[in-house]
Amino acid sequence: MTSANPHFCRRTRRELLWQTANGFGAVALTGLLGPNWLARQAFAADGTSPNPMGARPGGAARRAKAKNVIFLFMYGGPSQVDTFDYKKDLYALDGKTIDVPTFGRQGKRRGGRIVGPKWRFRPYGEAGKWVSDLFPYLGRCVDDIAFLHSMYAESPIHGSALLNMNCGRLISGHPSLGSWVNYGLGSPNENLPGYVVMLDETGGPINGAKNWTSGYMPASLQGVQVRSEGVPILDLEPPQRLRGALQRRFLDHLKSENELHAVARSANPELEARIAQYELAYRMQSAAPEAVELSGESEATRELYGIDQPRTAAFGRKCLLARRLVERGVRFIQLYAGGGHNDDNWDAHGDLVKNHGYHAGRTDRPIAALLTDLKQRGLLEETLVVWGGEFGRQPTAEYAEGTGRDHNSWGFTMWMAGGGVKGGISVGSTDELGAKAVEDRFHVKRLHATILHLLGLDPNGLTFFFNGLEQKLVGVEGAEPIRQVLA
Amino acid sequence: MSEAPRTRLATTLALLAATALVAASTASTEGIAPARADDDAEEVALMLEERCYRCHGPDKQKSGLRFDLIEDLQEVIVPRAAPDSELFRRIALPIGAEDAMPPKGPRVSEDRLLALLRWINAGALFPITEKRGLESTGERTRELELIERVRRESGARVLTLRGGAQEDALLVDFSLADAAPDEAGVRSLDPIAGRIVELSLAGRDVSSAIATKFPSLPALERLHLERTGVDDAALEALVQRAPRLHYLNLHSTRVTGRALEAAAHLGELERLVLHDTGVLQADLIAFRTAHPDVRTSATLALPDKPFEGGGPRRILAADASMKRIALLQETALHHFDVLWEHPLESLHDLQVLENGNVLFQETWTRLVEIDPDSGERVWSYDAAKTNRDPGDGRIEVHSFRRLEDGVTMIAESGSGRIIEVDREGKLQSAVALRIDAPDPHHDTRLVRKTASGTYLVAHEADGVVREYDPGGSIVWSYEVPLFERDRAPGNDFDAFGNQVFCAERLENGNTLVATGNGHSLIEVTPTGEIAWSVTQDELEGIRLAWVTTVQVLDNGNLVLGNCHAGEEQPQLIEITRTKDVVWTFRDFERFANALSNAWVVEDPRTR
Repeated sequence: MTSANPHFCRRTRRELLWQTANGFGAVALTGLLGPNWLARQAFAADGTSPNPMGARPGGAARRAKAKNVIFLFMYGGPSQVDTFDYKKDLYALDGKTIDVPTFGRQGKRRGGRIVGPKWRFRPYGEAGKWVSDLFPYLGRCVDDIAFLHSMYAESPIHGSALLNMNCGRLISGHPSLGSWVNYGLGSPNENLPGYVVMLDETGGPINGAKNWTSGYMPASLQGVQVRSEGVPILDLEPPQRLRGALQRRFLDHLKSENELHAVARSANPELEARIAQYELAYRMQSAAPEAVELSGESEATRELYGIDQPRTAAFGRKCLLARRLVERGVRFIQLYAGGGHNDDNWDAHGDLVKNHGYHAGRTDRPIAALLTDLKQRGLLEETLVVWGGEFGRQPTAEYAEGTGRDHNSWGFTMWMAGGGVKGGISVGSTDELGAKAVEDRFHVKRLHATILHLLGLDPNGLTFFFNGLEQKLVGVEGAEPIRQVLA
Repeated sequence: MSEAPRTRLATTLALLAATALVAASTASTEGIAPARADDDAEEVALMLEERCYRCHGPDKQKSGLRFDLIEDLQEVIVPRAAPDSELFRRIALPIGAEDAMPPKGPRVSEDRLLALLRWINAGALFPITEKRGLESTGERTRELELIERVRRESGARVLTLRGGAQEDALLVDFSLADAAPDEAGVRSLDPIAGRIVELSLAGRDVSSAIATKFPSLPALERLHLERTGVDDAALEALVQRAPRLHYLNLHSTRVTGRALEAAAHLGELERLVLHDTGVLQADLIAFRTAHPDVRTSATLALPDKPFEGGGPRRILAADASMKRIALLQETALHHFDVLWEHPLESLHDLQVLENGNVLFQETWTRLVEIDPDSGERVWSYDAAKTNRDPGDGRIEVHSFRRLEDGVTMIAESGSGRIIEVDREGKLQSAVALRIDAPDPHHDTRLVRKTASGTYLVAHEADGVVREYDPGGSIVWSYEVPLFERDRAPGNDFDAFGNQVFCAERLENGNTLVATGNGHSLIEVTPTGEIAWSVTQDELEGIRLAWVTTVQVLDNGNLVLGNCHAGEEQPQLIEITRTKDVVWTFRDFERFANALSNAWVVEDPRTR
């Protein structure tokens, strides 16, 4: 460039450089395990236009245990002492007032009325893992599950805690886990998004799309909402009059116009991404309906997922769809169980029995089915399934009356299965009331580090340069994977 | 020595610029791009020469990199992705940044940086295909060309795998290709066949004709054949070519037991996935025995019922004082949802039928069978009007049972007989009972037909359990003892008597007797000895009043009905044989102090 004009579109050249450099791809290179990653990438590069969803031609690490992630997000915050964190002495304390510090939406409290666990627990599997009667089907799967009983998050408020769980930070603007995974690994399927989000029928969680944003990364890395019924991806189908050959001609023309435009602006990779996006959308028009078409699934499979039962049909469809997407190479799939407000999700402030009974009842069988189905197809070995909410719930009652529990980010349970995770183990623990993580406490970013590690990514090496900083999902301080659960 | 590579690079860049010119001229009429592409290549070449060769050139090769060699330069460049290219990234870093290049001297000028950016993003960084008209310049370039060609001809994804012992191991994946592999595509694998460690044909139609076209795959460890059209012949062809398989996925294919024979020859096999195939369970079991080191998995299932006994309870209970019968589902500890309820006036017996219907009584004489799902009344019988002669006295029914053969057993108090009627109400049999103290309300409480076909009758007024054979002869009887205690009126804790409510024959031949106002449950042997008992204050924290029903659960525990015991006491109590209370039911909102009958449904049709 020989132009003397030091400003381009009101940016200095230096700004332009940074923006272009950061706008597309930047440098995930050091994030992959093993030396000479870059050199290997050159082998894989296909020399054609980049896949906008994956950004990268797709690395593959032999050491990586997991290829895909299914994150089952229990929005609202399931109560640990009523699900998987068995506190056998808590039953007898039901109704008694106890000094136990808590921190929820009501602020900090010094104690309160204990609400005993509302469900019986019983031992399952070779591990003899105690699971509450909310999850009788999942109970059969405990030998494939690693329970993390000592999770803690930074906020006891839904909005910020969701960002914490999804993006690693309490504040907006940071890329979500699924974006990091696709940024680090790319997506092998050129006809489907590499990052799919399926929402509850009652609506999305608080913050909406911020939960699956790509933040400062390219927009192509954000989660794409896929619906399990009806039109899978909204606004994907062209208008009737533009379908078929006419659409192809339209796109070809658009492409040539864009390329013409790009010739003079070859320093703008966003433009290339846009050209590629049109092509992806075109390919998705046929790939997406095929991926969500469940009619080819056997009756036994539909029964397994509980699609034949009204109570489990909706979440069962999503779980089955998640398996189909994994088979089609979608890297990261997030399913929300619970949406909207109040008792539409696990946020049991009023009637715990009604709330958790409802949400567990509609997800227990489908989730157990998902684990079972992945296992019988040999997919569980390379698919990491993660279960949990943005936080847990307190052992004490929120109000003077009733069984409702307030939020609790000081201690809660999550679990992982498949994808290189040890089965039949439980790590960490809360105190005897289940109020606070006390032993082997795991910050949310330890979970993130574990997920990245299992995918063959180095959580402390996977960086994206933004705002003058090598940004990481696990923050500048870094985080280690939870080694106890690695197989 | 030092001249040749540099010349080579310069030539390449010049030719590259020419290629870009041709490409651009087809898309653009502006004529700007060709000139600039030419300039950019020149700028990059100059930059490399002036700022890079000193440390990465013929004289020195820091980090083993020599940028006058194309293959070394390729290590730090990702075509079409300047920001992903280590060369660009490092040069673009501000001075003082840790990885910034060059480490000494001023930063590379912004003009040159932009030239580098454009040049990389122009995509055709190096002539990696034959089409671009340049000869191979080294091993890496040849490798790139090879992979590219295989990818193009096969349609498969071809990836180099990192982190294994074998440096140049490859993954070949047809599963996401646009079409199933054809013969030419399979043939194109030949030059890399020895390096393929993972091959996926998942979801693809793989005929045995295609399978036999595959080259020998001596390094292949993982083979994905799930959801393919593979049959035994195709599998055998593939397995023959891949003797070192560790992992073989065959789910949702047509393979049969022959697949196991083929797998048996794979000495290094560790994992075999067989869900939804034609492999028989017996063959699989035999294979597992012969090959304990191979982890096999076939179709897995979840149980039909969520709990194997002892789960949250479904109970049918009735309380005449509340004029209600209800089917309840336990949803949490001490929480029940009503699934169905129905009004009634009087009741001393109820039954949950095999099909889920409920048999109960609305009055002392009117029996009904209702489907609780639909509310439909599917059968009814009025004992006051059916199978009666004119002038017969008042009767009441205090027990009934739908029997296995579909007939209904009805015990009539007042007429002192047990009858069996068919679906139409037609009398099938009748047995006269011995009644010492006749009373239309008190002749019997519950009557149960035993496995041997006898009737076990709780005679409330007589305080005796009598067993009748089908001919009406008494084959066994047991007088409920008063334990040397005086009778006392009433129906609460302080009442006392032997107004026996029900008797259940156990598998060991003993009989469990719920003694009503005897406040106890006793197990008696055929010779009348008390083998086991639970008395009024024996259960921790619980006091028994009128002990009505006893139900033996599948797990051996017993559920007692504790009627007339007041709001402080549970109405139903599950105990173990060691008299530990493991479950209770207390509901004084829907029911009250006259919950006489209940049944724990252990086998609900749905959850």
